[in-house]
Amino acid sequence: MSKILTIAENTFKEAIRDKVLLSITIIGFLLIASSKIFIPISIGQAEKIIKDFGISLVEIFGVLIVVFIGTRIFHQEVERKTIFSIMSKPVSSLEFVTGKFLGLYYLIVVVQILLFFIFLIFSKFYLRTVDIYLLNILYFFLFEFLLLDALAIFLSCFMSPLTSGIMALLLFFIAHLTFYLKELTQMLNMPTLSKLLNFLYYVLPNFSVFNIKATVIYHLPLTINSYLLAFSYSMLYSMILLIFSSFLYSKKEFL
Amino acid sequence: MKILDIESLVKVYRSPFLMKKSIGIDGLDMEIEEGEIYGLLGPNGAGKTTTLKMITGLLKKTSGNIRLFGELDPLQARRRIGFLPENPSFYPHLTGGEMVRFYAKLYNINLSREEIEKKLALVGLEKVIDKRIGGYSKGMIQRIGFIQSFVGDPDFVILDEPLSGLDPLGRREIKDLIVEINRKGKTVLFSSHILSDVEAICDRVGIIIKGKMKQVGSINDILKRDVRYIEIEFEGLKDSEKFEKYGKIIIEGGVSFLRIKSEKTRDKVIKEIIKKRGKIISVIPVKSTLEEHFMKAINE
Amino acid sequence: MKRLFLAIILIVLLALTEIKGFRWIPKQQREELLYFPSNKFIKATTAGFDLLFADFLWIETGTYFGKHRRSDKSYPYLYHMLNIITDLDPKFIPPYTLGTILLTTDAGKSDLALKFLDKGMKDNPELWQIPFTKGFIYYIHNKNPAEASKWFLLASYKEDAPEMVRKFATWTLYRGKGVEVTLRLYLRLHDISSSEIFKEKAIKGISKTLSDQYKQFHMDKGYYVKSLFDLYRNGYLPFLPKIPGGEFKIKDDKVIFQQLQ
Repeated sequence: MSKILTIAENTFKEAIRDKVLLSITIIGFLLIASSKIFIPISIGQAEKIIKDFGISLVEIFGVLIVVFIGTRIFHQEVERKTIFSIMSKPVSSLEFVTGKFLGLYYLIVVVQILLFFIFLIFSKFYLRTVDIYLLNILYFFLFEFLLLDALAIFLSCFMSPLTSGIMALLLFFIAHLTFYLKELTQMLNMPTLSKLLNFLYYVLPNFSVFNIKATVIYHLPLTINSYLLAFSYSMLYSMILLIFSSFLYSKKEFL
Repeated sequence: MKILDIESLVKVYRSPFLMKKSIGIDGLDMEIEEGEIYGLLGPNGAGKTTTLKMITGLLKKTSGNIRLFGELDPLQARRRIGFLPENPSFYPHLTGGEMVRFYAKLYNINLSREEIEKKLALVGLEKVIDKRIGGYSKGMIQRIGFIQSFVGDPDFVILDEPLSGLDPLGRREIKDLIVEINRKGKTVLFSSHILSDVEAICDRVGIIIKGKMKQVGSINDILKRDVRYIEIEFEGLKDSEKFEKYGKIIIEGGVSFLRIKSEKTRDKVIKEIIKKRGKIISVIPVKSTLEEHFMKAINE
Repeated sequence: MKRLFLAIILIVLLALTEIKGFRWIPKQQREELLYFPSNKFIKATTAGFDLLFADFLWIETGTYFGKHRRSDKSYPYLYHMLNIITDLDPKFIPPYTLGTILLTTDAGKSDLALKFLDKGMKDNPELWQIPFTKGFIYYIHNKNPAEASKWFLLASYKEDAPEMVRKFATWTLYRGKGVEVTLRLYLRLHDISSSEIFKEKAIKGISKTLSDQYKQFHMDKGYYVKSLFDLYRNGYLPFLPKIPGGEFKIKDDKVIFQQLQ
């Protein structure tokens, strides 16, 4: 475990210096600050719109971090040849992959929390109110990004940074509509296609379990079931991806 | 005990699209005994780095056997190995001290600042313990790389071109360190182009050419096979030019230098000089330098 | 081998979570999704940012409305935009409570507005504001107090419905209470949105109602009162409506709203 944490800490320290991260964070800050422009054009719905905008930005920037930084995480080690000094040590591929995964996750958590609190500060400033109930969505974002992180790690084991970045973005998009695959199977009258869609529904990641924006914006009740489902789905899926990733990584050669 | 035992090792590179293959290692055999310093020599592209990387698990073998410390699981074996890659590269955001601590932790070893300073002092880097690696010179990186290779207190240290990028003083320091860690019981395998360095510290040398081991042995054994000529220095004979029949002779100020090829001829010449009441000053077998031998082996 | 075994166990656990866990999503939600197939297509394109897209479309709707209000006063896409907004964000109420007002009074599509409000009630059965809005449209625009009364009554049964809603349910059936209901409905319209569009409508509506009562007094009594207070004193107004920032005054044979300096 200490090797995993050591690699995670190093990954975090390295990534936090990344200029891309700085740009993403600054842009996120500026966009959240600019949400004031909605006030005069919102037809009386400024509070809702600023909240929707703020929490959506926090999520979007998490995705950007995964896409722009997470997908380069292995490639950078190979490019810089630092991989030789790591993989010749008594570090298994599972420990290495998990360490990288955790390091990237620390980074995502830090940036998410930072942007979320910036959003709360601006919402207090613009709306004179802070809606504490919104904090619930932060937990769900953290579950969501655990899985997206694992997806990015998995993809970057066998794809170049550019391809894995595009795939990660695509999967984020697809993961929000896998829910409808199930509905489609009931609407279609083609059993083979329905079977395939049903299979895809279970295999592809399903991010609708993390999407509680309507619940927090409208202060609808959150059940413990929702938390448990999001947490367990995220943990299980991520662990499976990490195992596959470590398997793929163990087959790699470093010329 | 054999620390390393390689049998019929083969590495074939296949291009996935063109279905072309190229052979990197072509049936290599190699053994390293506990406690020795073994030098791996070979021209560029011979397969030195490929061999070292297969030993450390960075490359996968196509066929053959690599046994480390007997029959150990590769991951277990890596606990007892230290490796310095060629032209090493480390995380630029870490300071020297952080880097040493980082690599030690990968062996589950926690080092205090004092311990880190002591290790860095071995290579004269204790003053830059808090300086980022990104600001180190090539020589400094090579030296701190050497430290990370034995920070885990391994039994077997593998160094790929450990002396490259170092000035003469630096090379002297590292060579001394290699000898010192060897004295403490560590087995060392290193590859190098700098033959004089290999000559100076290795117990045994392996010459690898085109993926195959061509010669192995101590420096003396290798070079004994390659005596160029025997030079006999003598004086006190008026007709020393008559010895020209045995070989090339140079006469300078009453002293003659005769070069002969074989030991048989040497014995004959010595008898004759003594018979003629000449005085033998010296009899020296002149061997190839390792460099000449090496070049000869490549060209064969 | 160990890794493979662990992976298999995790896959089985994940499958169980998916099969059992997704049943935890309320049945109603799942059925509703089946009822409105178009929802899915729109929602499928937003990658989970439905609420944000709905917000942007709401702003766009305001822009669209403002542009056409200043030009051709024709709003062919208003209903469609409101429909998509509520497909994306079924709990977003202003398209129902405010959008339908515009659909009725400006786009002249009260039938569509009423149908749209039915959709709103299905998505938000707990809210009083939607049936209330239906009652508003029936009363003010369709001049159908009986139908309006039904919807005010339904609204009054919802949790958090103000007492006034129940009063409207009965008052709409009494001719004598008509003015009070109208004034109070317009006052409510003024208060529910900070947007100038609705405040203007409310002020216009109140001004017209007061003007009508002013004229009615003249028809009944043969002379004009000098102030609104006189109308109130004579029982032609149940109360004097007040709106911050100005006051209602009689000027040139009608009632206008004068902004305070």
